[in-house]
Amino acid sequence: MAASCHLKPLSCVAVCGGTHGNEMSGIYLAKHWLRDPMELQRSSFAVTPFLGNPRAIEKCVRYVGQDLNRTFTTEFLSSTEVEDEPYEVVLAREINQTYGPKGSAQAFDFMFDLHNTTASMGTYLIVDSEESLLPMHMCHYIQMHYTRSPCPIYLYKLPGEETYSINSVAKAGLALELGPQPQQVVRADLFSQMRDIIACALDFIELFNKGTVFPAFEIEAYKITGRMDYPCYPDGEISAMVHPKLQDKDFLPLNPRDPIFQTFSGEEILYEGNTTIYPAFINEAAYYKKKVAFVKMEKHTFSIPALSSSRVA
Amino acid sequence: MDYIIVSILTQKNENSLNVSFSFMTTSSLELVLRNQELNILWKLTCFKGIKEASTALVLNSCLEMHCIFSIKALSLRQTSCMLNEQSLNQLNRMTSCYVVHEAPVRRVAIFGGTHGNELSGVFLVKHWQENGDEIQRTGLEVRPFITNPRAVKKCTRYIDCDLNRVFDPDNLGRQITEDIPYEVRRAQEINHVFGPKNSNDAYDLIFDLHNTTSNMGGTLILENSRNNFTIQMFNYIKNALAPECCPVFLIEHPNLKYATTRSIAKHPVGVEVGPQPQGVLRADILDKMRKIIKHGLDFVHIFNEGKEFPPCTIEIYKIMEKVDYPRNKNGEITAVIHPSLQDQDWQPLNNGDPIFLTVDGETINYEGDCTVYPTFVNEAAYYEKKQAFVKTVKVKLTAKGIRSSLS
Repeated sequence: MAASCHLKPLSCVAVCGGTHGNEMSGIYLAKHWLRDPMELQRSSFAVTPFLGNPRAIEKCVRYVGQDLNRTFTTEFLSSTEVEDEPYEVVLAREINQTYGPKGSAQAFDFMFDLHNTTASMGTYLIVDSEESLLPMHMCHYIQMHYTRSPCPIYLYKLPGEETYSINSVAKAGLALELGPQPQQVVRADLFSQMRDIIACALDFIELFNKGTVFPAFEIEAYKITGRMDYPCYPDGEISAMVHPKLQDKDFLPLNPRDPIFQTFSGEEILYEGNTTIYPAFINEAAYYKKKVAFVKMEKHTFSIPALSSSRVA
Repeated sequence: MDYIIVSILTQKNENSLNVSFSFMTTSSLELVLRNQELNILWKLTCFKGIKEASTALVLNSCLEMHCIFSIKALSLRQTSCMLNEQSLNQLNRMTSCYVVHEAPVRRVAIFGGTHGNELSGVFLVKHWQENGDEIQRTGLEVRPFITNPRAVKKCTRYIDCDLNRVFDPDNLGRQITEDIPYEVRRAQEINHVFGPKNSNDAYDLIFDLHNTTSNMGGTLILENSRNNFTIQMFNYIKNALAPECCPVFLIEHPNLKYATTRSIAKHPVGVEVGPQPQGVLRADILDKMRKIIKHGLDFVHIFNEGKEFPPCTIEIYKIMEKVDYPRNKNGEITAVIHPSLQDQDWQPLNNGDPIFLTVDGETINYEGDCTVYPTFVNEAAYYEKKQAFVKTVKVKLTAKGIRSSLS
């Protein structure tokens, strides 16, 4: 097992709600914290809540020009200002100025990003990769201390792919994905779950800053391997629905020859892969545009080395 | 507003008609039952509260007996009895023993995409446009139709305004100018093809397919409590789907009723299936909607073939009032639907039950005199319409016997 790691304590932490303007739990939470930041306060660091995409929030849509949560790449962040740029490109550069710049020493230490999904995912903790030590330890802490429902970990970065999400502006980040919740709807149960998990995560940072040593551990996590598209007609319209046997079965094993789609005439389409995979984001509303029915993942076990803040000699 | 809720159950024996009433009145009143000669058959005085009473009326030798039922408020204050005329008509219908002959139903339309992000109807209609075998029945024409194609293309509820609110005479008669909202122009086109509304040329029957984010199951929406044909159809569908529940929602109300797309037909039928998020297509929800349509079309076919449907009584939920979210002085929502109310559409809500939860964890409770049955609880599209949920009351509705006039 690798030797223990030391990282600098965190001083600037941001929490973002409304990266997508119709995912309401985070929007209501961020608005509440902007009015009353008391519950975010901890003694060893500052927490800044903010609304990710104000114009999309006002219109209660996912985005106005393009998906903000795909715009934090070098291509968009370093492009020069031009006329008629999508709103989200301009916004991404402003966010990068305020909470970044991405990759620099001035960037915020940590950013939380709050999301909802129409898929039956329960509570998902989304980290870019298992190599992000601090977020992995934070997830482990959350899993042990927030026990009302399981909080599986989803590693979203494909190998070789550049990070593109809003929290990649900070030095480290964690996204929460809670569902199922329809777009534009606030469910009280998910709202309070999200709130409690953030509280738990902030407690972790406080303990970390104050010198707690977090021992090494083994942890299960799901790593994305690809996406499964809907079958479509020649004109691009989807020709089948997620099969009732797959609907709501996020994170349960999908085996070769299990049904995945059902056509409107009642025929079944089976999974043709060779190995068992774990599907997520099954029937997510926002993915219809890209014709993605679900995301494919593999289950892995990772060994994570011990961690403490570098204050401890 | 004082009001009376009346539910009436009749049981016809050989020589007599047993009539049972249950009602609630917020003021004292007198119920009087008279025959055609205006002789008093029965009189009852009652005070505020919930009352039940029954009487047996002797039928005369001919097959028909018409009764006139009047309700007179005894309090000094003039009350307006919202359902007064309706209950009078209802009783008149019920105590008549003959069967109504209705015109056969030949022209049927199935509308999908009235709201472009309610996908079950969109995909069913598109599928039926490619392959309509499943919706064909002999003796009638069934036409599947996408009502708001631009909204469907963008997968949004509407472009300029809600299509399902603009089929009123003002909008239907409005002059077409450049800046007319897309949906008003579209409404006029639809009225031209499937109407005109209130004319003899209008389609006989329109099924309008919708989804909701609320946990309403497969709900049938009734616009008119006097439409015997539709009530009989709903009775048929409910029996066909039993033991699965199929609530019937009556939107007839002086202020709250809205001018729907389907209202251009002689028999408008709303089909509202949930819960399903906007922009999502669930196989189980689509299947439920499909079954409702199948049974509805079967009913029309059987009716056209000459079957007589005896008088029937169904339990329905009648719209009473909309309830908005608590808001601050800036109009922002300050509390969300309480977890105890979330997903509890059609379940009884009593005085003192929690309905909202503030961000600070405070519970706001329902305050009301009677049990209500909430619906459209936490419907996404209704945040902008200032509707957290809708209160309904359970009422029994009776339809006359019907038979096709051509048989």
